[in-house]
Amino acid sequence: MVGVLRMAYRNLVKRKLRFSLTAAGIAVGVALILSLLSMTATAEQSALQSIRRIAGYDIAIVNSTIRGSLTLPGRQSTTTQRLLSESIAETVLAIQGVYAVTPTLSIRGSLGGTYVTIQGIDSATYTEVVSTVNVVEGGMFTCSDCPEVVVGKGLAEELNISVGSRLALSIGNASREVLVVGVFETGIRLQEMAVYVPLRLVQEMSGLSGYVTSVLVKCVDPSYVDSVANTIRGTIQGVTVVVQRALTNLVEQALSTLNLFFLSIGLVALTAGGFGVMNTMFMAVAERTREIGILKSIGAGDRFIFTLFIAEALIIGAVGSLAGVGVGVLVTQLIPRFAVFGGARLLPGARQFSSVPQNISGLTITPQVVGTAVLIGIAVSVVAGLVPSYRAARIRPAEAIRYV
Amino acid sequence: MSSNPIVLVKDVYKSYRYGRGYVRALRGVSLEVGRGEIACLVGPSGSGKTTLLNIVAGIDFPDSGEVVVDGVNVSKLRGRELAQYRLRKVGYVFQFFNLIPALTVWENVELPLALAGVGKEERARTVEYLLEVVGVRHLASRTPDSLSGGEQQRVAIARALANKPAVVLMDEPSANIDVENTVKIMELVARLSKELGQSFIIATHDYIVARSCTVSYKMRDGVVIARFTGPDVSKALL
Repeated sequence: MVGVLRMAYRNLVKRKLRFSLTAAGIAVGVALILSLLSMTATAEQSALQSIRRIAGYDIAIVNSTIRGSLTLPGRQSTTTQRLLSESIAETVLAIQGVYAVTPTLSIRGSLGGTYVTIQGIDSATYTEVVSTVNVVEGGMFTCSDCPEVVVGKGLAEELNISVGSRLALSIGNASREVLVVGVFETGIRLQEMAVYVPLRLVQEMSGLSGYVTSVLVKCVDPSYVDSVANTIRGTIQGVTVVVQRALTNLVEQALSTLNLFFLSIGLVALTAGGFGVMNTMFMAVAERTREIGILKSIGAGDRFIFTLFIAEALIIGAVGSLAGVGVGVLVTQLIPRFAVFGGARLLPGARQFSSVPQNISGLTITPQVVGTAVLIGIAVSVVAGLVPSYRAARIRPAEAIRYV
Repeated sequence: MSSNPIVLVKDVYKSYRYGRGYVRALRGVSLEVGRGEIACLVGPSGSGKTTLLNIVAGIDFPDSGEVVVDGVNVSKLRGRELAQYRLRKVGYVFQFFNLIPALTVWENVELPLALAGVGKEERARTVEYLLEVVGVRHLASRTPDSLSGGEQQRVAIARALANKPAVVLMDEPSANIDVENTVKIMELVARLSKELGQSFIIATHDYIVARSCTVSYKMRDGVVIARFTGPDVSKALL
């Protein structure tokens, strides 16, 4: 038996060129949606990875009050952050679900005469909490108050120093000669203009013993983050608890806006394809008016005629969408070689980071993205076919059979 | 007149809007066709033959009057009932472009059976039988565009017979075929009438067709002006 779908397919392939061009209209839209959605999906993945790399901690605790901000005697040794008591770290560590806690004291100072951000850290707990310190040369200092530092790669290049160099570290009026024991890399130049210094040494030089600017917390499991943050808010007064997920959510929110923007671009292209389908369907109805009349005169009802034409629109949509997926996949493989991400390597001063290439070697195509693109393609085609199909179904047979 | 007509047309009027005015296509037509009869509607173009066929076929509606086919009052049918009437009670053979181009000969004949919900095996049996009866079994897998006019008419007749209709309507069956094929088609019609008791209403102004009828109605300007039977049927052409 000839099914409606087969009949619809045969009608379409009788006019191969028209069928191909109409399906191509849908394919362009689907390919565009697929590649644009893939780009945002990849960007999202890449951004979330970057956030994790920049800050491996789950929760940051900072002072929420104005009191405690500090200006030290001396020209440049000023911390713009407010201070916390270091003892908070002990309190937080006792909360259930906390895996590790590390206090940090961020302060301005100079190294070898260059103004830098000094990060006073406890190396043992810091590397436990912020697991992403990427020491590319030498190693991290292991003492808590020895005169050793780990400098950022950017700073090392600027000062032309390396592991083994000895320089003057100044905070306010205090100055000490320190030994460079390591060089770290983050991939972000600004972050690499900093220097890691043992916490006790920074506290001693700045006269801030017992104070820190933030306490970073790593939870046992990401699922503990909300409950730990709430406990901190409930037990420690005057602090702001920043949950890392808030940043992630912000990125996700921004990317979903981008997603919507890209989707609307794709939809505009698909709408054009939809008009192509509508045009083709109207032409088919006009050309086959007599055929519709004959079908009706041998007993085909309005619903049969409607289904026959909608099936044609559906086939156009399905074929166009599948072709669009093929083109889209091809485009997403080619984009990284020629466009946006690849171009970044050509920027002057831009460096290639060890963790970046895996994200830009190809765009992520998820089944959801493919499914969404195909469904939208088919839906647009079917919607475009509704009016012509309805018109075909409503044709009066007596008039149709007179049509030549 | 038949005592128990399969088709009864009673005082049918039909007019069409044409420009700003109206054209009266039928003006009180009445006729009867009995079971197994071959009734010809004979008359010049514009006499109302096709309009009457369309009304009997249920694809057009009379302004007034009554059309009863096999006990069904066609004038009162609408929507799905009308589609079912067209599917089961009448078969229609047009003068040209009869077949669905996207379907093979087999599928064209099978289509009304499928629309009627007939099962696959019975469909296959019926299609095979009908193609055999009209003599085109060997063309089953061909598409309409590869057939001659005569062959297409035979396939159209097979399709019209698919759901065992009460009456088969034929509009100018000889218009697009040569004399030899016209003779063959009318021999087939006569055989179907005699062997299966199939009723036909044929609109024509062709002598070969008219002489094969068992009754002929001469039409002019939307009215039946004469009825002929037996050896006089072809006099309707005069």
